[in-house]
Amino acid sequence: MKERMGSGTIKGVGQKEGLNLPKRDETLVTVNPLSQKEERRKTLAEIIKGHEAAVFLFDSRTLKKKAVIALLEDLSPQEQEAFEQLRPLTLELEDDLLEKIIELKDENNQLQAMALIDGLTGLYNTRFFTSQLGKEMSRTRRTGLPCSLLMMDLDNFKTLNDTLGHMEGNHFLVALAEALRENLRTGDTLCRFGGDEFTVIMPATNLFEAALVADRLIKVVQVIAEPLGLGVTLSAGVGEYTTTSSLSPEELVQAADSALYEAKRSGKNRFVLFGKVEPFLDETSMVSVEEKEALFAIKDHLQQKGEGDDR
Amino acid sequence: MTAKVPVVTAISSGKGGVGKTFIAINLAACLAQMGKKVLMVDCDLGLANIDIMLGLNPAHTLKDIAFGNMTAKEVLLNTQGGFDLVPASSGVKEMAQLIFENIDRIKTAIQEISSAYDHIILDTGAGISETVLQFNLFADHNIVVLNRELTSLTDAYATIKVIFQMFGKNRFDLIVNSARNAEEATRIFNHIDSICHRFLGFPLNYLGYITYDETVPRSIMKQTILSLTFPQSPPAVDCAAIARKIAVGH
Repeated sequence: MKERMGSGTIKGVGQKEGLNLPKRDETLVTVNPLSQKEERRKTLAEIIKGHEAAVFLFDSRTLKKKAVIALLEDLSPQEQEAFEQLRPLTLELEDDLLEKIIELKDENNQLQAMALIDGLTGLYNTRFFTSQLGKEMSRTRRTGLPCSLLMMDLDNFKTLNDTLGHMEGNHFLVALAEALRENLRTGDTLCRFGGDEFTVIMPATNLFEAALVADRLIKVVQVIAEPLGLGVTLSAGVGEYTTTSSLSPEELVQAADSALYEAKRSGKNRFVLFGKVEPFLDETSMVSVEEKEALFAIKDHLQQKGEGDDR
Repeated sequence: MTAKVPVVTAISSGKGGVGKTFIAINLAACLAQMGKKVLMVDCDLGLANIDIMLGLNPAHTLKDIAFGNMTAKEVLLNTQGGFDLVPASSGVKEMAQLIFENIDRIKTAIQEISSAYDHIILDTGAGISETVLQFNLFADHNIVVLNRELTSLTDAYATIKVIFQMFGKNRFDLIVNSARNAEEATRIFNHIDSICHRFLGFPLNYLGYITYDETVPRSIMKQTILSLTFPQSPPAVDCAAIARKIAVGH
């Protein structure tokens, strides 16, 4: 399967059931803003090591075609200029992918300057997490919509480090961060909490929806860690904050963390919910006034017909 | 290529009392008569009633599977309809609010015995609870039953909309129940189909209709299966036609 994007590109790689991820030793064709005419073949490992702006696409397990963006180093002003030149050409050919890259790049630069980004994985760090969680919780109080928190920890990550070394461990964390990010929804905030611990803040998400996300991420990790054969899996704890809840941000973290502990204790590779799932129907799922009106349009017809048909 | 992969079909209606369970039982019986191996799972966890409709009084139910005490094999019963049944418990409050792990356990238990069947029919409960949604997610085919009542029409649409929005599923097979004639059934289907098209952006698939007939309440009262006792009655003929479509993959 081939994916094209602008003048540079990448081939679809490492196709596995449900999720396609490039293997570290697989050859990728990278886009280098400076050498856009030549497609350079490198392995993922080289790209990561080589600090080069790389773009690659793959189909995730969701139905949509998604883009995975690996931004491995800030571009120099000169490179940025080259990147800008590439932009109109590429936009014409594909979707707004490059736009997104540039946006992300700007955001990335800014955030790095503010020291809110984790150096290894490029995810938000604990500092950003703390401020963001507080913001989302006040948004809940303001809008009435619940928010949820996912605390995740890799199982048997120490085995990976001990067996393959810390370099490989780090590489795995980078690939993991990408895979997790790809399987989250717009608006979800993924942070590295330190070590092999990750968190996701999910605005406007109740416990049930958060459970679906946790379930998906656990399955994603099963797929990407399976080839290693080291029993690396993901455990997660899920907590929810609602307007009726009196939890502080620290207490919400503690709640999700205790659920995570329970997931580990009861056998790993699973999630545990803190609290109970309530039956729900959110606003967008409700049948709207327009839809009801359209549905009811058949009413007169059915009644007339019914009266005429009655025996 | 010896292991069978059964077709898992969830039957839902949103509104209760639309005739979903009657249809599920009769379709299962028709498929069994066609020589198919059929497993029916009563997923109506709050107020189960397939067992009652079949005159059974099971000692063990889905509850025992959900809480990890028994396997599906230990719970399942042979029925007069020639299909196997995993019955549910009536009026067990805790079942109506099954949490994730319990539902997962049920799914795993069904998968464990699935290779023995051609068709697995999930009779989901009324409403749009998480349990109903989860069984619909689990299924390969999603059948929605509705009748000529406006409340049924609206609830059927709401069910389709929620499943579409939550899981991205956009293939639904519709059965119009208790229709006075083919024309009325088609009108009801066309109506909901056009609304789905307009608001959700995809069409529905028309599986067929069941004619309204006095034999239906009588057969339910007698705890018999209409398709077996009166195969020539209009509703039984309609069920058989729908079952044939299901047997060939719609």
